Amino acid sequence: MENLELLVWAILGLPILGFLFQSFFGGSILRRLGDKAGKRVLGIFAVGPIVLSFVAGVMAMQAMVNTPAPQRSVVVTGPTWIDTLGIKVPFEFLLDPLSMTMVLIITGIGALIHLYATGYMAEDKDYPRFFSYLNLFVVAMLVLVLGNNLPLLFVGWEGVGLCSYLLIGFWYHDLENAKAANKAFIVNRIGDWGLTLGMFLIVVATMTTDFGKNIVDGRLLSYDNILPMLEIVLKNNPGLATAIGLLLFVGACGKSAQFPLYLWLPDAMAGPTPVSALIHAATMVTSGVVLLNRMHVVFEMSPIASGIIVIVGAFTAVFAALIAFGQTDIKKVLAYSTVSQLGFMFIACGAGAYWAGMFHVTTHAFFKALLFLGAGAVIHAMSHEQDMRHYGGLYKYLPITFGTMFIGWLAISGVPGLSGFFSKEAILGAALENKHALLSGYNVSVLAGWIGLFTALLTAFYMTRMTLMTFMGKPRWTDLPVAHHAHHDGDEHGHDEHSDDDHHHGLTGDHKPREVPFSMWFPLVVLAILSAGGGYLMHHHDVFYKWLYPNDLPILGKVEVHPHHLPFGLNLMALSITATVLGIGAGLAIYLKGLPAKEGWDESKWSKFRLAAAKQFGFDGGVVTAAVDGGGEFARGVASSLERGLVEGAGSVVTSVADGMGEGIRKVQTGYVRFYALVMVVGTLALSAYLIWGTLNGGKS
Amino acid sequence: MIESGSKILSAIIWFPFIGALILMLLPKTVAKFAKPMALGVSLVTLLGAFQLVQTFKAGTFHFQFGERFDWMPALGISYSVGLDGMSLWMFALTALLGVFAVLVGDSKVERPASFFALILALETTMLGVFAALDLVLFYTFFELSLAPVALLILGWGSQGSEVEARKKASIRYFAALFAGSILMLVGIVLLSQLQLQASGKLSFHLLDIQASVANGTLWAKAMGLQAPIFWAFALAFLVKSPGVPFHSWLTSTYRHAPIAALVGGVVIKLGTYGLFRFCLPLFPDVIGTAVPTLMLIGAVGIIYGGIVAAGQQGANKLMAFATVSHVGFVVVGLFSLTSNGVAGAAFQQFNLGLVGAATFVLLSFLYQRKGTQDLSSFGALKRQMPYFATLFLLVMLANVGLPGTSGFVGEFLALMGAFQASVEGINGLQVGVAAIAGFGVVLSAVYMLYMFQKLFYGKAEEGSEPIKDLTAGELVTGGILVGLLIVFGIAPGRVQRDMDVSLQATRLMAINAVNERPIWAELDHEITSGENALAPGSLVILEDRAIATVGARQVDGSLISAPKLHPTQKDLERAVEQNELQATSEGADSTQ
Repeated sequence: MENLELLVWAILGLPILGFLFQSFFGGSILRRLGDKAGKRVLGIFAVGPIVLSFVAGVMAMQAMVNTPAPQRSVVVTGPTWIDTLGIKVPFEFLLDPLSMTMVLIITGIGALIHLYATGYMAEDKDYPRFFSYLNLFVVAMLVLVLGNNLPLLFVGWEGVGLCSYLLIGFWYHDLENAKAANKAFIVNRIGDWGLTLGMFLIVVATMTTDFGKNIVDGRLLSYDNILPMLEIVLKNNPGLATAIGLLLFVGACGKSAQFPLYLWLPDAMAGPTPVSALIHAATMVTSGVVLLNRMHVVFEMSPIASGIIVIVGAFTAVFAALIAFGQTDIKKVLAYSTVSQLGFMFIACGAGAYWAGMFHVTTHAFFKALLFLGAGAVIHAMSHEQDMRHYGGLYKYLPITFGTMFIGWLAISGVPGLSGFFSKEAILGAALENKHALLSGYNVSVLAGWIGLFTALLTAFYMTRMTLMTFMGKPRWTDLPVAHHAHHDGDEHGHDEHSDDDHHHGLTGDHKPREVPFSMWFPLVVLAILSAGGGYLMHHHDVFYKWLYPNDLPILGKVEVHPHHLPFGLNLMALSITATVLGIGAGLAIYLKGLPAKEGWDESKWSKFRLAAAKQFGFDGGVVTAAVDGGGEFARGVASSLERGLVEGAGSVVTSVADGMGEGIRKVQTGYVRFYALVMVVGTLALSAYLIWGTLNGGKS
Repeated sequence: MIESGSKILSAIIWFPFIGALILMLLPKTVAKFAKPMALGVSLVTLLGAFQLVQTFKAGTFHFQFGERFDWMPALGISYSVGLDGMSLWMFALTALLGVFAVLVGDSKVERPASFFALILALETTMLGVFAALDLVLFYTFFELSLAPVALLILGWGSQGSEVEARKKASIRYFAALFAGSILMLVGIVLLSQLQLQASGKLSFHLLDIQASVANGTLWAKAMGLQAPIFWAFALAFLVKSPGVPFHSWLTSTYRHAPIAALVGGVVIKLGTYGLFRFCLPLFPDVIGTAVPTLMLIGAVGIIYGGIVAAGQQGANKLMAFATVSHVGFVVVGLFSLTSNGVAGAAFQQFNLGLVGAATFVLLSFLYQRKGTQDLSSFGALKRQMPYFATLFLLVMLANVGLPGTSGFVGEFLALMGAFQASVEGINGLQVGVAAIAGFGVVLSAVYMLYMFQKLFYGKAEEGSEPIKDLTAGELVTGGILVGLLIVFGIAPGRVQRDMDVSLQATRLMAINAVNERPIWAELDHEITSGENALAPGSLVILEDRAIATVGARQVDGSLISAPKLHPTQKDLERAVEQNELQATSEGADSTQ
């Protein structure tokens, strides 16, 4: 097991070294070696650590597979971080099947996306800044999943939020990007508030009982201390379990973009596309699901919290799927699709099938990273135009991108045999079969199952729309005016302009899309293979379930994912295949020829619905206006009225006294030094008087 | 009265003052050497403080480096100084920030000798506040610290503003804080009278008074006075902290940039320090009833400061209200009276010194370049000042309380303590108070991100000249401060371990019953640095994390000797062995 210890430090340490290297030497390397050679060197040092970290992860996995299941959890302890008599928080890391799964996703897909980004960002002058943030993100995400206590999870939790903030606002010259970054950070902070309170309540729950005395080492928030204890404490106190569960779920909602805290994720698409793939699809946004898996004992104990999770997940899934129909920006479609898919994962967790949530985290990481990177390739090839209405017929120009995205499209649509099919099947099965999620006695997970089935149909439909609008039909950008001189690669812009050129390079009518370079299409191919075959491999013989939960759940036992009691003797697999076929069929029927050139720009056949969807059915406008504008107004109002009242009115005794004294002094016009002398004299006199009085008094008694 | 102790502590306290006197006496022709000289003085002071940190013995709550001699024996006033774990680090922080206050002081100001002399004088008064053990001495330093700041505002306040405006700000600062603390003086005098009644000896010494409080004699005949005196002290410290609604002096002071770094760094920590040092241990019978009010003041401060900060246009005013919000966390943690809350509040107090200094030092760089603090006249600085942007980003994160920066640890523990106390309903607290206070972490993100965006993103003002990035010297100055934010964020353990036993003992003084309250003493450092490092009477932590006194008997009759949870302190282990030997040989008398 010493071997494992070393591997943990390697997994964490290599990306840290990468981050430090990019931060401290990136700029000077770029200056010294010149743009081309410098970027090649930096690229190697950006991708290298993540690849090596992945290799270390695979070795750790190997070692873990070779040990018997009960001994697969290893804690590696470093120095103590927070160190008081009341609580101790060491830097300690937990290697177990759950964290191992996430490590492989983070470093594996992370390495592919880093490689992709060396191509995607090749023209950006802020190359080292980008990769230092991206490496730092990997570090934070690894700390999040590997940390053996909740504060350490929180370090990663806020750390990934920070990196997300920095990368959304990466092209900061556009103020809109900076605002989107702020929105992401602040909305996430609301979630963090819930998570923090959840942690505090866990401390209270364990410390106020006799069991708390068993924690002799002061590690009040370490998993190996609290999880067994919570299992005992919460058994007799479902109300407490519900309170803790809901507070943790608030945190999960923020990071994993569940209603109503999903608001930041679509705006987060302002960041470079590799960021969207890595952070806002494959890894960071799944942190909430990881948290629910890690703390599953709490949720197992609370049918009410589980019920709320199921309802929020189901509503988010269908709501975001509907909004996706209204999007014309290819990345926004994928963003809402991500929100929707995250909803599926929460349905699974609420229904008690935590492993199915993780299963979908994994398969979704494959196909959503693929789709985002594919979209990035299209954007790259189309002079940074993101509006699908200007695409069309791209299959001819981008054969590899089309081929791989085709697989991604089928995988997310739930075509049997591909990865999305298996994980979605497990989620819907668990929702329809289990009776864990109860709200006032009503089993809400069945409802969520049917909503999920309907959402699966919608998913197939809008993904078909996206794929066909992009790749099929006739090229539509040719209708655009021809530019005087096309400036694709930005050289004419001068150096300073380089970095804000992600979108609106200006797609012109005479544009000729070219297939992307190797560094970009290679990750697409690998991800396409995983999207196609990964699901079956994990589904086969319940490999994934037995890996994550070899002993079943402590309270719920083995959670069934094959429904036996559907009405009318229906069969889930038949139902979901029907949904997929209907969704894809509807999409094909409308969009097979791409957008008809004349009536098409606003898809007028159903434009009313589409326009409403584009505006998120009024929700984003409402909440954001209320929070940002109203909040700003409110703050300024308080600042000007109440605060002025406090300062200038009689609101504050001290201020009045102070100003009064100042006024008095000014009238006397003594000058400062004399005033000060006066005050000192008065003060000294007062002190002396008291002292003398005191001495006399003291003498008497 | 005894005279005792080495004079090292006094030497460090008064060294900057002597430097200030020399600066004032120098002829005008050598005025250009004022800054290097002042820097030298502050660096030597820092070295001295560092020496104290190195020789300090953790694991006991008693005062070390103590000195005590009669000042006005007829009145019972003594010159007494000493440091415990908590004041040690505030003392060291003051010495550290003294260096930075001199470093960022503009050497081209008018009358540089006076300017730097005042900064050094201020340093002495603040060091004195943290070390004073006699209440009159404390009050003297506390009030004296007002004068240099007031004079600095008056003479060197923001360059653009009218003399009249500076005068007003200067007087407001002085008068507000003077008025706030005048009642405390009455309280101090009354305490000495009660001490006289209780022990038959007139004394202003904190340790004498606390001992009488601990054995119940001080308040025995004057219960009615306890609440008024408590509030007299609390008011003085809340005005200084500042707590809402006593904060208005702060905003007018912060507008005057040159000294904001110093004020933001340390001066206001004198207030929260006072709450720790006096309000917590001396008023055990009323503190419980005062807790709901004080927690409310803290929580309102967090939220109100955060909201008003978000509505500000001036960088310094924004940070002034941010300070109000941050101080709220200290108050909330402290008066939760839980172990975590108190530990968090103390660390937050320490952190605020660092983070406040770092923020205002960076803002002063900006002010020196542009001559304004109005956020709307900045923009796109990230492109023009990449190094400054990086440093400011880290400072922003510390202000927001991101884990990994020193801002997180204190905030987290303070809120945890507040939450624990309110869930358990101790002293009639409501859960809502802690939950609402916790929402301050969202507000801090709102106003800090708003400021960051205004400064660094978007477009520069039309027709404005480009701003130069930091010079090498500025980069080093800012870089060290920012580096410390990260260092103490990742490794807060040393500070926490040094502070902890003092904090817990102080907390037990507040919540334990008569005769179960720990009693402060002075630890003779000549002896403690030898074999007998942990004298009987020192505080140790038992396995169930209760706190007990070395040499006392446990319920089962065995002697308490072993500190189980401080395995890192080699000294301690040796001392414990020593203690066991001593205890067995002396038998029952060892409780002394």
